Amino acid sequence: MGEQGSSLGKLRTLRPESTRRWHIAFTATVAALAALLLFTCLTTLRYRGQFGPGPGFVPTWASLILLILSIWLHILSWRGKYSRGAGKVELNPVPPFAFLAVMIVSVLLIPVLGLLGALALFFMVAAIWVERCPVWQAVSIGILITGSMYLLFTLMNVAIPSGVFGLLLDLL
Amino acid sequence: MDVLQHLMDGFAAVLTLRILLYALAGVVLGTLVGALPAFGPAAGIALLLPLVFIIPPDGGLVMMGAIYYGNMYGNTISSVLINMPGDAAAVMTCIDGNMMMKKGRAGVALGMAAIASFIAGTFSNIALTFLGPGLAAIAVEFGPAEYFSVVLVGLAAVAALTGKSPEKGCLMAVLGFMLSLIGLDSVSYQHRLTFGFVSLMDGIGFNSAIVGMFGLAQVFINLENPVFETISSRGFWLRDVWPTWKDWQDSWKAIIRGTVIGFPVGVLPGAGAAIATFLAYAYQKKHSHHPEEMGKGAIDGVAAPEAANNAAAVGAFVPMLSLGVPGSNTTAVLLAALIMWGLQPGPLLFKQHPEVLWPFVASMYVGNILLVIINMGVIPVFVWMLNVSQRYINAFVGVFAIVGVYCVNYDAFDVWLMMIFGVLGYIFEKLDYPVPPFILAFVLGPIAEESLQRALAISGGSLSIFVTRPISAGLLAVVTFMIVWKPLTGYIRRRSEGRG
Repeated sequence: MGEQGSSLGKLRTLRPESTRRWHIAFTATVAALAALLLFTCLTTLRYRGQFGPGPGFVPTWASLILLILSIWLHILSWRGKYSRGAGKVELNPVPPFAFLAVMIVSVLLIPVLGLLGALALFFMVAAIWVERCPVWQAVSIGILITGSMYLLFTLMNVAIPSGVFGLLLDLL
Repeated sequence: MDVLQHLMDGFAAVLTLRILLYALAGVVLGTLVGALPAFGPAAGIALLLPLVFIIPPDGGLVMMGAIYYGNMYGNTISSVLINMPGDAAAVMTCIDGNMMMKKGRAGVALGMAAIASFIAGTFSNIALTFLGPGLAAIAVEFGPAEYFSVVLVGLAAVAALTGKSPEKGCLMAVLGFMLSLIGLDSVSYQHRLTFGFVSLMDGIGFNSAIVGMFGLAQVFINLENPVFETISSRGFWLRDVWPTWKDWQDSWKAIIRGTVIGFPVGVLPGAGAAIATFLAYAYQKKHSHHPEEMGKGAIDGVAAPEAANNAAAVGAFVPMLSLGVPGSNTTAVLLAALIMWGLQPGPLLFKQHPEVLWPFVASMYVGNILLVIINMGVIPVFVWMLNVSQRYINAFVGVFAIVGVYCVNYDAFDVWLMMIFGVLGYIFEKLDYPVPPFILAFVLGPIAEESLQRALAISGGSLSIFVTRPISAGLLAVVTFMIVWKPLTGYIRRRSEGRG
């Protein structure tokens, strides 16, 4: 067994039975989505076209089949088919959602920091905060990756959003 | 003769510095990504999918293919050294491979895996060379009804064979198909299901869906419980990895068995390399000279599944190239790449774009040679890279995913979509909903819809066209059988148990 990496949160092993409500919630969500799609197809898309099926033909049938399937799976989930006797479920949602949060903030910052600035920030914060890597290593690798990308984009003559750094460079 | 002439033209195109460099880059990248625990071939290729926008199709397809089989071998490295398979196809290799590692014979296990993969890959390439165009020549006669039925066979096979519950596979396939319908209708040019989002008018990009569902979702799963392995790179130089005469005697039959089982299983849509490796291992265990050693570090326990794995990987290209129907999630990603290059997948691909297809087929012969040279010669380099990169790989994949998806349209909306698909992939994994039917249906959705609309336009809207044409009717019977078979046998078994 290898070295256990430190991470946010703690891995929990759940009893398979406890996943029943997740299955119920998931299939209910899919059924609601399918109903919405079916309603949209029936009200906004033409079922028949001039020479055959219209733009609504396939989506209507697909959403109807999706609705039937999701209701069927919903019933099976209520009966506990997917939770009973299933394998153990390991869960630690904190690091994935922390990683996702860093990604969301970085993408929001692209217009301000530019693409490369946002990516450097993303790499460093994800590596230091989420993956608990040593700061100096994460910063130096982040700079190395961003620098390589800058060279690559410059060599390929590809214009990318440069944010405030671009403005500063223009001023200089 | 026509096939051989095309193959020679393919070799002439491949044996240029530019294409050879693409093949080399693909083999190295694929092996490296595959060596990282938990990154299977689909995730590896998905992450590199955005490259199609900067690499021309001839070199790009060669590179994607090289990443695929390089990744297969990379998976062997993590399976043997740290007992962590990157995907289901590498699970059987773990059994004896990791036991050999514990006995101090990891080098020989990796060497034999490379040789078995090379032999199986080369023989399967020969089969692909002749079978692919032959099947395409038959499929050229297919009308839209047959084509729609072929797509249904592919989807039903993957839905029925992936995961424990066929109904979950069916739900995922319909969900993927539904999402593929978002955007412009190809016949009426009417916008559908966009809900007012201008960015959805062109539909959901393959990039966002595939990178999110495979790459980002895998990162989320890896982050839950990170484990790092440090392996000594000693004992992996050429003299350590070359098998002894006894190893050869024990393995040659296993390699043949693995190849013969792996290729046809790989050709079947949905069956995939995992089933091929399982069958090859079970068959080898039954026919081995020393069945008592299987599972305890027998070299033929590595040779058989590795040969089957590579043979099945090549076999999966047959339906993809000749019919335009991918047999696995990895070939579905490759099919998406073809579509993004503007190439119409299907039987006409061999006729209309031989300049792309034949260099790709030829490159698989060359790639196999590159792979065996690299993997026999520089395993310590991969071990070192595995040690160095595993701590930063998740953050690096995140950077790569953002750049790859964002730089296609310079639209942050694509990155948001990728994140949504990443979260969806994570939820699907936790609830044990299979992702391959979703991706396959998402990629094949537009092709299926167009075929259906054309068939119904020909028949004047009557569905009878699908059952009155013999090939289409036969294919639909196969679809029905695949969907009904598993629940039906389960029902019969439960009834007989109830009576007993």
